Amino acid sequence: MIFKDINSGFYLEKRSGLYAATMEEVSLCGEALGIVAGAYINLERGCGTLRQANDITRMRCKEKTGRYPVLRMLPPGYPDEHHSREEAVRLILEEKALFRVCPGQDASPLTLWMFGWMLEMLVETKTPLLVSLQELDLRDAAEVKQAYPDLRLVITNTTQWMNRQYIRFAQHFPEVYFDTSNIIEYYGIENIVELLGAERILFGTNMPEKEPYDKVFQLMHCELSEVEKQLIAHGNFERIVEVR
Amino acid sequence: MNLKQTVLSGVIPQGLPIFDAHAHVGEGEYNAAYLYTMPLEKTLSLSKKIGIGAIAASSFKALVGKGVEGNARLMEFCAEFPEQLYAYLYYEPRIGDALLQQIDAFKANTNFVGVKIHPREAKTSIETNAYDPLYDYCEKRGILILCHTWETEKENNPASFFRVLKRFPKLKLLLGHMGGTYTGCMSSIELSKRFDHVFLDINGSLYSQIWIEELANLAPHEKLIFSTDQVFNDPRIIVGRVLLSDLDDALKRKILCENFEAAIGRTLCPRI
Repeated sequence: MIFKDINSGFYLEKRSGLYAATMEEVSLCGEALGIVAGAYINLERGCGTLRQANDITRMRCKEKTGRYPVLRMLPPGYPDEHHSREEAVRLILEEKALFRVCPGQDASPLTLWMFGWMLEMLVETKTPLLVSLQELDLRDAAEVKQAYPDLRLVITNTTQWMNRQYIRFAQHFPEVYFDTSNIIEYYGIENIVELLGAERILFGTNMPEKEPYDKVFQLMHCELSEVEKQLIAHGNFERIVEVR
Repeated sequence: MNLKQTVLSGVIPQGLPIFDAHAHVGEGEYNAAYLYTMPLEKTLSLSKKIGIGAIAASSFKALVGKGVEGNARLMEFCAEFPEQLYAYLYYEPRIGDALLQQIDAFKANTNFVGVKIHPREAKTSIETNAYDPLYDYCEKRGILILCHTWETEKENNPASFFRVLKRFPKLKLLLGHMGGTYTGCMSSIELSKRFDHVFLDINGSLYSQIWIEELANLAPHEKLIFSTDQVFNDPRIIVGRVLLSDLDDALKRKILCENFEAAIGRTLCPRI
């Protein structure tokens, strides 16, 4: 079985507690389990401006096929903190870049007035926007989805304590996806597929913040059809990240 | 082939004893979040399918305030599935006398493995002396206590056990979730190093930003105990975490079953 990881990251140096931390370590650990491609974000906070941090991600991703850069997206307030519209479109077309917002860490709620044209640009280019449920106010996200129903929103790092909310959110709005990294609920993966369909779930590990072993085993041994497993393992990634 | 290679080839290793030392069973009583509920027989069947030979569980009903009834129902379940299900009887100070009597009545039952406490749910901190009658009872008899711990919850920060264990140094304790967070894990590891009878429940430490290989570098190997927290959580999560890791096979076997059986002092998991 092969896997493509929508929720992967890297640090620039080894870190205590993390068996794999750098891009090479994360990549090797994944390959040993059949993870052949991944979307990577730079998790290092002390490596310069947003643009410099994103440039490191892009450079590391160019070193090997199957690596897709996830670029941190900050609102277009300070000119030196964001990519221009033209630049962002070029990165999407040439490098198949994805974007992630971090509403908590960056004190930038995912709202229309914060991100303005950036959301429109993501819709036009069918580019996935990643966001962790643990940082997201779903009321903000609902306003965004009402304005941009076609925005491909990939909600990662779900928590079972909010399962009623996030399931209703995805039932209400189209183009909402979840990654598997924190689907730990009992029979969670089978339940979500039954409620939303396998097309809405992407394999995600949240490496290097946690191990990938649990997610590989869960998908290998879940009670879904082979077609559904393949969609989650890599098919949906191919559709929304690689092909678009 | 080693265990990792075997599992990656799609095969669950036969004859590998796996004992789940922290589980929950019930009949839909817990509903703070949506929990998928199915008959116990099916729960045990999923466990078996992924290689778990037996589980030790506490009762959901007991956790939500019906201690005596929940414990009694759990023992009925155990009688129905004597080889696959073992019991932690629940204790909370609010109805401590009645529960202690019940524990005493069942302590010789083959399916009794210990006592479960959940200070957050019981709204009684382990910082208080409210659990002392239980600690005293269990320490004298060598009975294991499984305590839910999470560093950010004031009622059950594992670090609070330093004070408890000064008073009850021989208490046999399994720290549920190893305190959850990075700091909680570190406190738990320190406790397990300092006290002979303190063990570490590896489920929950999944969220501590410590990979299992690093956990094995930090903690005494004989203290690491496998558990799943089913039916809150999917048991495939932690089975995969151990089997697909880069730990060597001998250590995986210790974590998956041998350490817990050594702690309890008898064989629990059926051998094929």
